[in-house]
Amino acid sequence: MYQSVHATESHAMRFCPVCCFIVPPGVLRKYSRDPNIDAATRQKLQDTYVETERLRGLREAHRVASLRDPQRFQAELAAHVPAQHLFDCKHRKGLPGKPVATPTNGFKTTFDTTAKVVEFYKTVLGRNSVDNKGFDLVSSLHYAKNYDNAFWDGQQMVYGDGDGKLFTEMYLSPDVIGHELTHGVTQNESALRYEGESGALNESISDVFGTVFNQWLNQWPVTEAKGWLVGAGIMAASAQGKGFTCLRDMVHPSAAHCLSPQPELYGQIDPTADVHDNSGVPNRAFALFARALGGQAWTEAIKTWYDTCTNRHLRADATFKEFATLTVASAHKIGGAAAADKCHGAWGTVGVLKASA
Amino acid sequence: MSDVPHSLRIERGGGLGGMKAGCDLALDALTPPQRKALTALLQRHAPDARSAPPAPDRFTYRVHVVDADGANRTLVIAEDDMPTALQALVKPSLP
Repeated sequence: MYQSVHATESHAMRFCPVCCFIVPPGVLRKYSRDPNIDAATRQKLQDTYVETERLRGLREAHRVASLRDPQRFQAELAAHVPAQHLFDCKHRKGLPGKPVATPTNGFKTTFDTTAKVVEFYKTVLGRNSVDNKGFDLVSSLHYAKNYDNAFWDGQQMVYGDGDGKLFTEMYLSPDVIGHELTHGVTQNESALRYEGESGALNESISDVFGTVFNQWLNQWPVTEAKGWLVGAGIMAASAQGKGFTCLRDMVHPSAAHCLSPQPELYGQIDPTADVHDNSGVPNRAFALFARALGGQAWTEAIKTWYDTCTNRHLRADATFKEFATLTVASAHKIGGAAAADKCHGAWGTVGVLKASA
Repeated sequence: MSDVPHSLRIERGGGLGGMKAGCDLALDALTPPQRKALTALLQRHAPDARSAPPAPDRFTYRVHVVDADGANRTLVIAEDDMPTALQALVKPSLP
């Protein structure tokens, strides 16, 4: 009995959110004072009583905290391992399509890469799927005819086959799968509104986590230029023949090799432009920060952005400046003053924050 | 404001790539199915209002219409609300 209630605090919080005790505290207290019981046993009963009361306090604290922030506390208890479900749209637009029982070819590629994204989120960031509760992941392939796009529809990922000239199959670029799945994470965290600066941040966050996932997958350091390209794996022959190597380049957003070049500085953006145009500025800020830290982006830089995206301070209609300020605070929390300086410097370079004195 | 447009411009934005595509067309350049789809679109959606909220990586279409009497209007159409017959019109403008 003594052993059973002598749990550590973390163990109790994780596995015993509603602590139930077989022996009522009143009984423990009564017998701990019973002169007919030997002193050693009475001491054990007294210790057990004290521990029981401590756990009771923890239970109450957990109850209050879970009421204040239910999502986070549910996540603490999450143990469900996300399953994957694959569907074939057969070039039609109905979702999710026909179930695929045994994945082969593109379905296997999608399954394997999605599993790696889940592993990346789990091992690097401690997150269990898009909702941090093990949300099952649904992917539909061969959506529509010659569809040159991929998207997250609020519940699942959808991939087109491309037109074969400009784009090839969308699931062939690991960062694209990471990008789409990250839209699900954002939906479950800050729910950044998909327009204006918050929309550009929403897009940027998907690019950031998608590319860092690709870097982690390939074990590329921050100095590897390929690691900062978005959509390098979906460029078809015609696009490559014209010199396009990617959709976007987070280090050089306006470069000629980008199929979709973007402004590099905050002062250059059009506030009414598409969210994919303006995401280049926060993309570049992250790349500059990660490169200033050095090493591998998944060891510290991505954890900084993840902290900002999940610590509940990020508003759904956040501006670039608000997001930047939060990342500097996260950088300080994770890497200290030196990391915060580098983060501030990166945002200063792209013109979102004032350059440090 | 007439239900029969004189000319139109269709622009596509958004998508994972964020690439812009567009085309300027005279009404007589449209095939009968495209004309029918356009007429239905104009009757179904109010000018200057989104047909649906913006969603991650979905395409958005802007249809600018000049009517025979010179009046202008713009529809903002979500990907799922844009007829397939009209979606294809912007593709030739891509690289």
